[in-house]
Amino acid sequence: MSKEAIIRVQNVSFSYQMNQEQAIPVLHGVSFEVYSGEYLAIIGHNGSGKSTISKHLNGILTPSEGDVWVHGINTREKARIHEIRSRVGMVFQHPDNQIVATIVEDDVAFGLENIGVAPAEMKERVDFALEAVGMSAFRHRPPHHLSGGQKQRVAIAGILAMKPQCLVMDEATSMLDSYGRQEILGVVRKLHRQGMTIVTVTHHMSEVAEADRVLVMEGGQIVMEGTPREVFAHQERLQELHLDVPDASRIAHLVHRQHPAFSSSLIHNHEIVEEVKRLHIRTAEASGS
Amino acid sequence: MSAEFELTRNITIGQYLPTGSVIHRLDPRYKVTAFVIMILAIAVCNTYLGNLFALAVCLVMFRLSHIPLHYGISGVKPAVPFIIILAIMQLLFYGEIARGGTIYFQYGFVTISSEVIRLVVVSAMRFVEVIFLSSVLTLSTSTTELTHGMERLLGPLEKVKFPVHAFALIITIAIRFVPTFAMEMEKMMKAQASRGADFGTGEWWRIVKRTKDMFPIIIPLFNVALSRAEDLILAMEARCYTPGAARTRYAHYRATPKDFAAVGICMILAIVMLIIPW
Repeated sequence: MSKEAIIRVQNVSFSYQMNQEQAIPVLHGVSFEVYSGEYLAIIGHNGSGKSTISKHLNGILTPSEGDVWVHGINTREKARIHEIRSRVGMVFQHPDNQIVATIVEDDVAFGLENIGVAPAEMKERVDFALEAVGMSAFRHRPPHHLSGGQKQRVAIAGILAMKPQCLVMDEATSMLDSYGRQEILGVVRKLHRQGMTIVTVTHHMSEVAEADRVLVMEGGQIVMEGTPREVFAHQERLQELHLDVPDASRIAHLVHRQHPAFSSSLIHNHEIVEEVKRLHIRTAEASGS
Repeated sequence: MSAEFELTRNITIGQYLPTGSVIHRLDPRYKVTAFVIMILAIAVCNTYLGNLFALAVCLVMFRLSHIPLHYGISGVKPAVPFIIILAIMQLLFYGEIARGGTIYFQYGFVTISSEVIRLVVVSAMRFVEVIFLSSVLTLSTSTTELTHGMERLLGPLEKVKFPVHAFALIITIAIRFVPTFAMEMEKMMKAQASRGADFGTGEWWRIVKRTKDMFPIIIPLFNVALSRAEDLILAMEARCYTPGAARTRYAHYRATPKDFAAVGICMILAIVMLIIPW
């Protein structure tokens, strides 16, 4: 992974302006960078500002103070907002509320029509995007005949067609059942392997375990940062923040308390299995000798 | 009882019936043009024979599009009360306007003459013809194709600053969200019913009561619609939508000789309809 930052968030504060006098502060001096090709997860409980910060990444919101730079373009530059948004695509929470057209392929083309791509190239890009999310067979279907996971895949295709470098998912799996969630995670995993930068805002800890890096937000600030393994090691601190850890991590901690030989820093299900096997072999060897 | 809540099953918007016939495969722009020509001719034609001819044309269109005729007839059924009311009104009040012909009966302001009867019969036939034709159009063209066709046909209006694309987008989004809101409404009706609300149990003539019964559905539905709209705007903006900006178009239609022929044939049919005497 190269350490080239494609998004730089510098000291960003933001308040929602309710009316003339009243403003609700949401973010307080948040700074971080998103590096090219990384898989970044942002977690935090409701109202921690995680969704608000994600909406700053492609200029849907502009900071009250501080700056966000996408590829060296400040998101305040309204004239270049198309450039920013075709580089950083965003998938939202509700599968139904982000599909514009009456059939799948038209919806995928919507963004391309907006940025004025020539029709011949558009066809190519739509084919590519539908193929990438495995929805080619559904191209002529109306969206209401699709499942939640399929709708989200169409939404991702709509973003992919614009050939972004970074995909931001704002709780994109939270409205889906576990099957739909697996569909989306499969697609995201594949895109990440192909070099796409992924930023995911989520409260599903099993998704977080797959990320390269985690930011934990609380009260509009970043309070923890590190690899998933580092972050999930602080189980008590996370509990104070009303955050969960992956099941694997919780089990590892419980077993670790009883049997110190069992590693506590496990975050994936398969690691538990391996750890059990490892200890089993060791005890077998010990009793055998 | 359960059928009352099955709203999504009854959505007839975009009642596309894909049979892949010649009519289905016409370019929507030309199909809409041909349709408009026929409708105009029907609106003007006021002879018995002309309307019989038009009715025959409609039946041929059903045959050509491989659409069973009962789809057209089921479209006429709900219109029957209106046709009857219209016929009665015309019979009673049009004596003064449709003058001429032989007078069969006269009492007070009611004049029934051969001209009035012609008017009544022709209006009823027109009704049926228009419903048949629109059924053929909507059954053989998907809503997507229809909006594309309309958008292209209205294209020239862009020169006089008419926001054609915005207009088409509004229609597209409206159609897109019909099933979504129907589903939403179904959910809310079930939720309200499970808490003891009753819908549609009042007698049909108590319109005010039946309307009031719907308030617990309508108000939350508006609420939902607004929050969905807000989400949709965000998603559209995130995909670089700028109102009024120049855009390119994905759907491409290329007219074939068949399309020109279809419009030509419809023009000839329209002329025949208009020159038929009697």
